[in-house]
Amino acid sequence: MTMADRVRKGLPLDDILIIDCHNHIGLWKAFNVPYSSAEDMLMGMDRLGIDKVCVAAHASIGPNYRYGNDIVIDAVERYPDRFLGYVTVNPNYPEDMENELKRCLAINGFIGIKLHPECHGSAVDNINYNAAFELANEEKLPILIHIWGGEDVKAVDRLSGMYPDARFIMGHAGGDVKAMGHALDVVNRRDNVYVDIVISRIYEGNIEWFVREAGSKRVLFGTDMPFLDPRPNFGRVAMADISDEEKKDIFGLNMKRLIEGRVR
Amino acid sequence: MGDLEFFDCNCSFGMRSILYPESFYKVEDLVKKMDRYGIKRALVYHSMAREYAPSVGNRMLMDEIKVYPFLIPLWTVMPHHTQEFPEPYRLIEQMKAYGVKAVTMFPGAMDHAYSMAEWNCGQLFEALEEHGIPLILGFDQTTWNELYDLLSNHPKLNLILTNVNYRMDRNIYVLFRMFENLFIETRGYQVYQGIEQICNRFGACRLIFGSGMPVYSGSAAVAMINYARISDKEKEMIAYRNLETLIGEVKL
Repeated sequence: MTMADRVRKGLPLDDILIIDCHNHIGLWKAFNVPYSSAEDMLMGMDRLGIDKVCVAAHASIGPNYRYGNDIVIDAVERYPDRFLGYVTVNPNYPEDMENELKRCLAINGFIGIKLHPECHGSAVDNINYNAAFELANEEKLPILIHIWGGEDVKAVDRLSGMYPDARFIMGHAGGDVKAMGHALDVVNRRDNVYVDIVISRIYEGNIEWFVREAGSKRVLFGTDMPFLDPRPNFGRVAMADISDEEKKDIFGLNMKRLIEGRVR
Repeated sequence: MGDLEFFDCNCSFGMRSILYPESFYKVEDLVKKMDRYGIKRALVYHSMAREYAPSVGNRMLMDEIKVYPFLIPLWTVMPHHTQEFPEPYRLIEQMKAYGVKAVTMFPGAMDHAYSMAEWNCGQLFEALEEHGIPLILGFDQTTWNELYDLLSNHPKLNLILTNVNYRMDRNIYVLFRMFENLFIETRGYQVYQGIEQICNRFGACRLIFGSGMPVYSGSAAVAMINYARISDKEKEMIAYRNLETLIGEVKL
């Protein structure tokens, strides 16, 4: 049975490695998140066959990075086989950035850094982020950045040249369709840049376009769970008009390569 | 259970001003995609009715779907005051003649740009209400207060709200409690486990499957229902039964 056949029957893809590279955890100010805990997320993961989620707390991309990072630590420590962590930092508190990066990345299961410049009222290339970029470069870490619009994509283009060993993941692949086109261009020029597929406005043919333009090796599966339900972004990969081998790259093999060596 | 046989409340075809990469616009491509995703029937409007003129697009729609009995016409309507569109009684006559049992409208500022208030659309809504004709309305075309007014003034008008999003529980829950004639399309309702919450609190009868193809992803839309943690009966209600019931209640 193909992956698409299994989606039609609502069967989990539990024999395929699925690593969700873009998740959150906890509550959010702007809307109801009825299921927001680690246990709630496990329920959704098991339904689809998602092996691991990579989480940054809502609280961290919001007002309190420490409070949020502690929620992530708790999830990673209680479910080490299912939860991986991003340490989130806020450029408005530069004096604490190095300490917070070290505090979290010392914990087994933390695999990278998350930045949300938009929520923190910042540019992607704010110099206050430099400690994060330098550490990602030094330790060859994934650095997942919320990217929305052409200016953000341009900033990643510059930064990925300045920090060639850091592994940049452009969250939402640029956000709007025009920026997605620029993001795919950057992926084709820079060996250390990836896009994830998370989006709430899921356009028909989007995955097929990404794979046609950039190949399947640089596209990462993500869902934003529990900010969003994971099922739509899961379905669009599983039923895409691409080969099952390409789907396996996107679902898990690419992210597995990115985090190799980070999880003891 | 076997594969769900989806009945889609929100499809379109036809050339559009903006065509995203790897998207499509031809009716025959819509039919192929429906087959791929297990969508057996669909209410469809013509993009020219939205992006050019309802009178032109509705005619093109009827012409192009003739050979596809599983594509069910969804006419785009608007108020008649400028004579660009027939008066409500005449519209109903035409719908009866062509067997059209559902309508959509695009009052938003970026589309047909008119007020949905009673002084402008009241007669149209009354006619739809009288004949049990469901109105399919994008959330992007209206406001919460307009919706409240519409549902209050026309308690028997079945309203299917499409293009919804994951940020609406704090408003939609109270409207669900107040108005039994309100339904939402499932595609954009990406609240985590939100489908399950709505089923538990208000019943599966309030949810109707829609994909938004060809702009939005059909595969994403069907996956939401195929993997829902609800009973098979509830899945069938959402996938096709609820829409069948609403269409079955139309009196022309």
